[in-house]
Amino acid sequence: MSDALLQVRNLRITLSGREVLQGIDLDLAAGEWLGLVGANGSGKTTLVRSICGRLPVQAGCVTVSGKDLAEQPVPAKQALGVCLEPAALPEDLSLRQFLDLWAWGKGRKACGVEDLALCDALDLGEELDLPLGAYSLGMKQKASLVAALMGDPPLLLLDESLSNLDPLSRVRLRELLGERHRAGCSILYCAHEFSELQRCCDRVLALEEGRIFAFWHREEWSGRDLEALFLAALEEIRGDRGDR
Amino acid sequence: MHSDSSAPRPTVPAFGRRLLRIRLGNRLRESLRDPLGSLWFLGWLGFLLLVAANIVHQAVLGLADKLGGPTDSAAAVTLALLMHVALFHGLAQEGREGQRPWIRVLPLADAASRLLLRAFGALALCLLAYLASMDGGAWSSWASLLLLPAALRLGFFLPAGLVGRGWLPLALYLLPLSGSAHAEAARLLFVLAPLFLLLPAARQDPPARGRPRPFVRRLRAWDRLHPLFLAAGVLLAPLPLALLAGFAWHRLLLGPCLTKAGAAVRVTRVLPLSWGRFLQGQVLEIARRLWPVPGLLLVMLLLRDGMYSLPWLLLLPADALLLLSLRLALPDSPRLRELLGGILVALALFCALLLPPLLGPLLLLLGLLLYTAARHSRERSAW
Repeated sequence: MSDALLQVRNLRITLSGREVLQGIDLDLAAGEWLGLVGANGSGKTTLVRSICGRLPVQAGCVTVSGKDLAEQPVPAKQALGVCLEPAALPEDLSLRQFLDLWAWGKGRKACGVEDLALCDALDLGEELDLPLGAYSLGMKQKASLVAALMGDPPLLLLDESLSNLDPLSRVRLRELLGERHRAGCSILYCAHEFSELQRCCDRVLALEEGRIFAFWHREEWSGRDLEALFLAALEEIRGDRGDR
Repeated sequence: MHSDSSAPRPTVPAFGRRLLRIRLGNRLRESLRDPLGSLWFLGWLGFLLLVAANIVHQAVLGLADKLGGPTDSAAAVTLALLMHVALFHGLAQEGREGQRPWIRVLPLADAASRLLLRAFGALALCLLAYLASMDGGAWSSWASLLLLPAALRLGFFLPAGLVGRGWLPLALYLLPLSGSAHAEAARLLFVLAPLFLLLPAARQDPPARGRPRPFVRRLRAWDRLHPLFLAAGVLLAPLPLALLAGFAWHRLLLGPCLTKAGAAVRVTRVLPLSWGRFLQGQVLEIARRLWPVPGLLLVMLLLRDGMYSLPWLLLLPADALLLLSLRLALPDSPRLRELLGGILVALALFCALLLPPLLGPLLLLLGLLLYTAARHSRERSAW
């Protein structure tokens, strides 16, 4: 058995008659920061949603910490820290209420001082009792990140989670995620910002039409432009498809 | 990980309950800041009044049953009132019929529960008036229109029922007519008819030793006919109110709640909660397949039992099921909403046409309000 924290085997997802994921295989080792890139509609978000349990696994297998997500969803999800989309946050709850609820859902009594400290660090400390509906998009994103980081989960799933943040918050979060990473946390990170991916990730996978068509290790892009590598690979695969 | 091993494993329903508790707390705090401006507050107050009315009514009927009185609600109250009159005129024997405790208990219970039901009806109408006009001034007129007769009845009838005997309580009992006009008309007819038909005959009847007087026997026989009157009233009178109240629940309370509940269910999928798959898969699938059933069931129950009964308490869950299944079956169907609104308006108008002249316009107005509300709902497309 592989020692990967996250294992995805032949994952296939069909949505509204379209096969969005067409047999994904990936391993994410403990302590690894894995990037996911791809054009819009290539299947990144669907992959993350399948791994976190928002979409049921239709075919194939997702294993988190050795637990099959379909067979043992509760223990499998305990290892996950999921960053919700801002639109999924309950707008009538204050951040404090939401964090308490989220903590309770994860088996704790309420959110702890470390979570509130994180809110402070992200400039949300003053807004704790404000309804989330009154938050800006970036603030909601930060609120989601606080919830995702709650309880030091061994695996973080981040889907474009830094994209709406102001530069200062982005730097702070990057540092924070770096600390978690160095402490052994694995991160699956979907993004379109190649500079971010290049700076943070140990490995990057590229998706196109629900398939992984390329991947690069940190050593491979060292001194090179990851975006150029991706575009070249994408052009090649699209050219191949055109030939066929 | 900071998990608390002593805490029980949270489940999806428990998560939902916790979320609901937080939301209720928030809404209550908001509402208390501006109670009259809060549709949510008025709506839930209405629901609580409805529940309270049922509890009061059933509890006192249970007591009456224990004391040896009849348990059929309206018939028992009518019988009790007639007993008052009969005792006053010496037509019934004090020791046999007059001293039964339920005779005093039932009218009070009836008055109390009617007050609560009227308050509920007023609130349901307030919600619609408020919705239609979006004007805070409109609701108070509706409230006074429906609450005043009930308040008058309770205020006068309580002391009269406790102390006085004879025609005074009966007159006060018959005094108010309100929104549920058919039920009131049926009651009026039922009470007055035996008085005119039976009392003269009763005066001529000699007392029978050891047996109830013939008047009492005839009265009881008449009482057996009461369900027919009650059915006539029940079939027509509560329907507009039921529809209005149901519409208010749909539009103002459950629609937004269920939208949020749907979002909550989606969110809970990413948390380590048990029962998630069951909730998401089985229940929703069953609701999707059986979507017309809850609505039909609700209407059938309302037609069968009327205002005092279980369906009113079932209104909330039945409505939730109906709305949920409608949302699942036809997630975005303005035409369906318009159709439902039209059916509601037609029913309201139908009922309005059958009413006495003075009360007809009232329900017609309600029908128009309903139509406005339905249109408003369609335009906002947010059931």
